[in-house]
Amino acid sequence: MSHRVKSYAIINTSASFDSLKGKESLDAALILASYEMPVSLFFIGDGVYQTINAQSAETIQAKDYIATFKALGFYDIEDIYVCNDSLDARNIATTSVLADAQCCDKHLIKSKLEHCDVVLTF
Amino acid sequence: MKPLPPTIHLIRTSAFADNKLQLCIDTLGVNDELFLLDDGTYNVNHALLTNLSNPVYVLDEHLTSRAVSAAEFEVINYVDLVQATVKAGKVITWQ
Amino acid sequence: MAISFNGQEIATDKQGYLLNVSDWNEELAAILASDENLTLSEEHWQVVNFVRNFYLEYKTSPAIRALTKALKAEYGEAKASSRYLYRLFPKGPAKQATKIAGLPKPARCI
Repeated sequence: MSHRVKSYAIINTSASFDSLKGKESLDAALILASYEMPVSLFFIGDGVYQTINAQSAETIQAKDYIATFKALGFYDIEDIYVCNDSLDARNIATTSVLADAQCCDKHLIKSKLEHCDVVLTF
Repeated sequence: MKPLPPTIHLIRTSAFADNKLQLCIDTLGVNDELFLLDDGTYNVNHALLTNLSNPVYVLDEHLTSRAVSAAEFEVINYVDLVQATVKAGKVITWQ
Repeated sequence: MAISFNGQEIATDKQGYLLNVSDWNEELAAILASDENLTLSEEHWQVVNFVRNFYLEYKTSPAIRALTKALKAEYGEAKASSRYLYRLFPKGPAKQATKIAGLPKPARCI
C-alpha cells in the first residue's frame, strides 16, 4: 500500500435547506481542505439547488452557508462539478454561485468519481 | 494487471420515497455492486432494478423484518456484508 | 459570559468570542485585544478589518490557511506570511484576529 494522501469526493444530493446536510457537507469539505487533503465537490439530484445564485437563507432564519461557497477558492477547493442532467430536469438555468463550478453530464461525473479514493454522500 | 476491486454501493432508502437509488445508478460503474439495506430492501420490487446488469445483494435480516421476499436477488447475511466492504475498493453509502 | 462595555453587558462565549457579530465596534475591539495582551497597531487593524470583512462576505471565520491565501490575494506575500501574522498575533492569527474582530471562533481552527 502506498502512503500517498487520499483524495476525497463529497457528493451533495440534498437541497439547500433540506435538513442540515448542505451545511454539514460544506463543513466536512472545509475541514478536509484545512488539512490539505484534495477534495472534489459534486452536486447531483436535488443537490444542484444549493448552487443557485441569489438564495437568501436569512429570509427563513437559516444559516447562510451558501455565502461560504464563494470562499472555496481560498481553501484550494477548485474541483467542483454540477450535474447538467439534474439542472435540466429541474429547469434551472446555470447561474451558479460557485465560480469554479463546471457543469458536466453524469458520465463525466462517474469518471471523476472513479478517480477519488473516498466518497462521502450528503 | 489485477483488476481493481469493485466499488460497492450501500442503498439504505426506498426508491419509492426518494431518488437515491436513481442517483446511484446514474454514477454506477460496470463492475460496481449494489447492497440493499434498511428501507433499501424495498427496492427489490422497484422497476429501476429490473434491467440492471450489476450484481445486487440484499441483507436477509432487513428483508425478513419487513416481510419482503427477493426471489431474483442474492440474499446475504451480516458477515457477507462485512466481508464485502473489507474487500471493496471503496464503499459509497447513499443515505 | 459577558464583557462590560459602556455600561452594557456584551455577551460572549466561554472563550471570550462575541456571541453577536453586530455588537462589535472599534472601541470594543481594543478591549478584546487587551484581553489578549495586544495593543492594536495599524498592521493589526489591517488584519482585523480584513478578517471581519471576510466574515461579512463569506459568513464564515477563515481558518489560517484560507486567511493567508486571501490576505496574499489582497495585500501580497509580505503581509500574508505565517511568520508575519504570528508576529502580530502570537497565539494564532486566525484565533486572535477573529476574536478581536468580534467573530465566532473559526470552527476548523489551528
